[in-house]
Amino acid sequence: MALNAVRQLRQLNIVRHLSTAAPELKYGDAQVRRTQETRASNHSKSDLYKFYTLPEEVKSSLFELGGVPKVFKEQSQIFNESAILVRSCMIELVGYLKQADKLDGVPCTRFVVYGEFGVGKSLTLMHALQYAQENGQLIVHIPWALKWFAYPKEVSLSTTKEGMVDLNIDAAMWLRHFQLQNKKLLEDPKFVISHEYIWSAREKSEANIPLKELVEHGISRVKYASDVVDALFQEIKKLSTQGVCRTFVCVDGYNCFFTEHSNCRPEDKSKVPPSRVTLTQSVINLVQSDWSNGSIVLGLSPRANLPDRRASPLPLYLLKKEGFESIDPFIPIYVPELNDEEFHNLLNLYESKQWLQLKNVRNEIAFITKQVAQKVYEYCTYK
Amino acid sequence: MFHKLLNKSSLSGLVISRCSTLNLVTSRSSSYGPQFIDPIFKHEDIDRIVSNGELKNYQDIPIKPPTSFQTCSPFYNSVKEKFINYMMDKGNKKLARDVFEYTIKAMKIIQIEKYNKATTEEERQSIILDPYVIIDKAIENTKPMLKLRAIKRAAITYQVPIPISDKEATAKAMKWHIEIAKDKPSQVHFSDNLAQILIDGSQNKGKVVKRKTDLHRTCEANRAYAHYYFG
Amino acid sequence: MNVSQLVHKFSRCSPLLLSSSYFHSHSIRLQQVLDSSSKSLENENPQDEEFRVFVIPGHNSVQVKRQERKRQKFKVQPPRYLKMPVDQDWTSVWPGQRTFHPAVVPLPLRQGYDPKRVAPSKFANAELMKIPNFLHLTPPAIKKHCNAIQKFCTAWPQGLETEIQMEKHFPITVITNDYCHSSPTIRDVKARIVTVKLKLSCLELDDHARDKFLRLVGQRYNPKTDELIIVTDRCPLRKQNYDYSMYVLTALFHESWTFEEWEKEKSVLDMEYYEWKQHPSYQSYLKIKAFPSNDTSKIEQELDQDPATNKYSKAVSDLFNQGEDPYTIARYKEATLEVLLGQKTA
Repeated sequence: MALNAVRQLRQLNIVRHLSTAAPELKYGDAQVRRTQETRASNHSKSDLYKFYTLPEEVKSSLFELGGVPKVFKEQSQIFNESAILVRSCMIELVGYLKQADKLDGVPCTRFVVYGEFGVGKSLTLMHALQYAQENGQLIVHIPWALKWFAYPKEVSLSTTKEGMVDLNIDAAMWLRHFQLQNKKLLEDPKFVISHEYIWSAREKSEANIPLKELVEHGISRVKYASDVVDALFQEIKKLSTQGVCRTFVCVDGYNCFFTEHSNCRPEDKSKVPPSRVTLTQSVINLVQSDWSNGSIVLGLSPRANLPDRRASPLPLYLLKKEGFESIDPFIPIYVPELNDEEFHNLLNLYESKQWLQLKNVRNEIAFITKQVAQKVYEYCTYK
Repeated sequence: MFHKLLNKSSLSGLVISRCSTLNLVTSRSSSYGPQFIDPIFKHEDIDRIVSNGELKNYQDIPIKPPTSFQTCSPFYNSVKEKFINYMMDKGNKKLARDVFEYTIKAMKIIQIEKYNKATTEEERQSIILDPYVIIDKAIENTKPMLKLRAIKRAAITYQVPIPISDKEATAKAMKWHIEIAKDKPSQVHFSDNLAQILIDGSQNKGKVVKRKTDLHRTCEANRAYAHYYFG
Repeated sequence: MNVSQLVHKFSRCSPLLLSSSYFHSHSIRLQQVLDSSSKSLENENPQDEEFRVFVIPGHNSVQVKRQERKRQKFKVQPPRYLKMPVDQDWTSVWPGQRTFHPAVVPLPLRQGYDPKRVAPSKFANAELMKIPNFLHLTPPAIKKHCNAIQKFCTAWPQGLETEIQMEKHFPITVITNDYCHSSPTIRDVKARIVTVKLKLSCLELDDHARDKFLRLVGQRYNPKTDELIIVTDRCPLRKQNYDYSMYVLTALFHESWTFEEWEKEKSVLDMEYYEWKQHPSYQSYLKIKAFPSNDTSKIEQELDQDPATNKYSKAVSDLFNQGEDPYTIARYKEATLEVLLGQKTA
């Protein structure tokens, strides 16, 4: 009837402008569907497409110094709650991690999380991090690696490695992040360093001192922070291989290590590519599979690349041949856009939190945002 | 009113009257004549017309085309479009729209924060969460009832209070909001300031309401000159 | 009475000198006088002669009506096409190339644009005259031509009916151009250019030879159509160019079959396709499989037989050779799941 009327009106020239109608989407009750299971390792298919609240203690211990995407941080501040949607890619990743944890005597397995911008890759990584923390694994988490190369705090020429560049303040800040994330584990007396590290003529870290002291040294003596990070990664590799702990490595925006240039400018003011930064070498060295008893999760994002190489979210395109070969073989995990059920549950949440006040707008939002989570949030915010 | 002004100016001479009429009539030439009606672009309106059987009445009437911002989207709001147009500077509508959308976001954040902090149910009910309702209320609360017009009598210019049309009052209220929101320290964002001012206005307080009452007070003081308006 | 006598007569009665210009300007009046004098001459009797009026040209004005100039009307023949019979032989009406003529062409043509009226008709229409027409190349005209020259042709060779047969027996196509135009010389420099086309599939080449051949010909090979095009125009004569192109083709073929010593230096980056075993990816895979020992030589033999490894090797090669898309990524994921986690998918 309505369509017929519109057609009639078109003929009469009354309606000259009509937006194309979005496809009809079905959704049931406006109740937000939630699950009470807050442990990431216990999530199963029955919790799929439901919200769970990230526990405050997890949030404060894991993500105090970064790791939460900006939009999600803002959203959880406004909503007074960190509600995370359980998605199939999260359950898939945690399932694989569980399998990998059972394997013994094999080098650590690499997983690559990829997808379009704003679909929820970082939230998938957060979920995996929560799983690792619940299982008492040593967490090596680099929240958003591009931050080092896009906004470096201080760039200086390396004293130990020729032709390389140090980002000491950034390295020290990351060490602080590492220290906070592994507060409990580092208290363990089993974590000791294997051999002596000599920083300068007067300063050195002796063998068999706790790993904690090595980290503290890096934080207090910022000058050696980059070298401390490198030493720390070497020690972690050794400790894991010895079976002292199981390690969980997580790097978000891994593809930024393979871009052509960065904003790092040492004294001679020339732009240095990420490959000439010591931190890059350390991280790439860490994700090699020459150590065991660990799992590595890498997030790829088109945003971590330079603007001229963001056309596709697929891993080989983002990493190029060099980056691909540095982590091959890996298990790719695709993070898709929200499906209908997830989309309506998300909008139910927004409606219950009074963030979206208009009714009958879901078709338009779905059509315009392509059901990409971040775009949905932004569209609901500004309207 | 217009005729009266015309008569008044004709007293002081033909040339002046011409000038004054030219100054007064500042309507822009339209490419559509008076026989054109405004476009009907909302689905509800169209459905209503069809169901009432009024479709025949529109058969021979010419209709203006809608502007690019008049859409059948559920997010369309005529007050919003007007407000954006008043905010716009040098034709930069994109910027004005962005700033307005940030204002909406800021308003939502302020109100939801209040809502979450509220302890009793009564308190919660009193908080308006829809930003567009807040804007409507703020404009309603800050609409002036009178305006001042400078009229010269015996070489003395008097500020004469005269009635104001509803359309003009609405425009004045919106412009006051924007004007007052611009008066801020440089660290504060315009959109945040405007959001706070609109929320204050909706609660019948704040700078804009003060400006309205100031105007009313001046009008009250100048009530003795009111008869000058009649000639 | 001739004019000279008349002039003499005038000269006697009039003191005016008759200059030629004067004579000319009053020619009509003179004619009048001439007429009246001829009348007077008719009646021969000299006694009957009236008193002659002294006529001063220009002074005694004679009211003569000026003859109106008649506009000459030409009779225009109706257009020829109106008289044409329906079953006429068009080829004899329009036998050769010619500019469009509206009276000859019996078609209601219109060409051009008028914002207010219909398009202009064919009469006095420059638009129709400007454009080339093909009225002399109607199908019957072509048929006539063909019939006329048929006696000079030989029969089409048997066994060359289809394109495939032609390609099989004559794989090389040689294209040359002859130029014919009106100028002092009948030669054209462009006539020397020789283009040689052939499909690469008709040459017998192995993997190495084909790769080398393609590297030697460079841009001249089109991989979409598998076609090689060699254009020779260096020599002044066509025959020289043709000979040279044949020489080049022969040299290319034999050169691609030879294996030079320096070709062993070909590195991974020079490879035209991705071969897994030559890339770092293979080394890292070996290390994973040999973990925790560093000696990879032992398991190398075993892995060649391993189906999971073969699947993975194919997946990686496809990812590079066929390009990255959701399908190849899915195959890669299947293979890595099997290799790394031992998870088999159907």
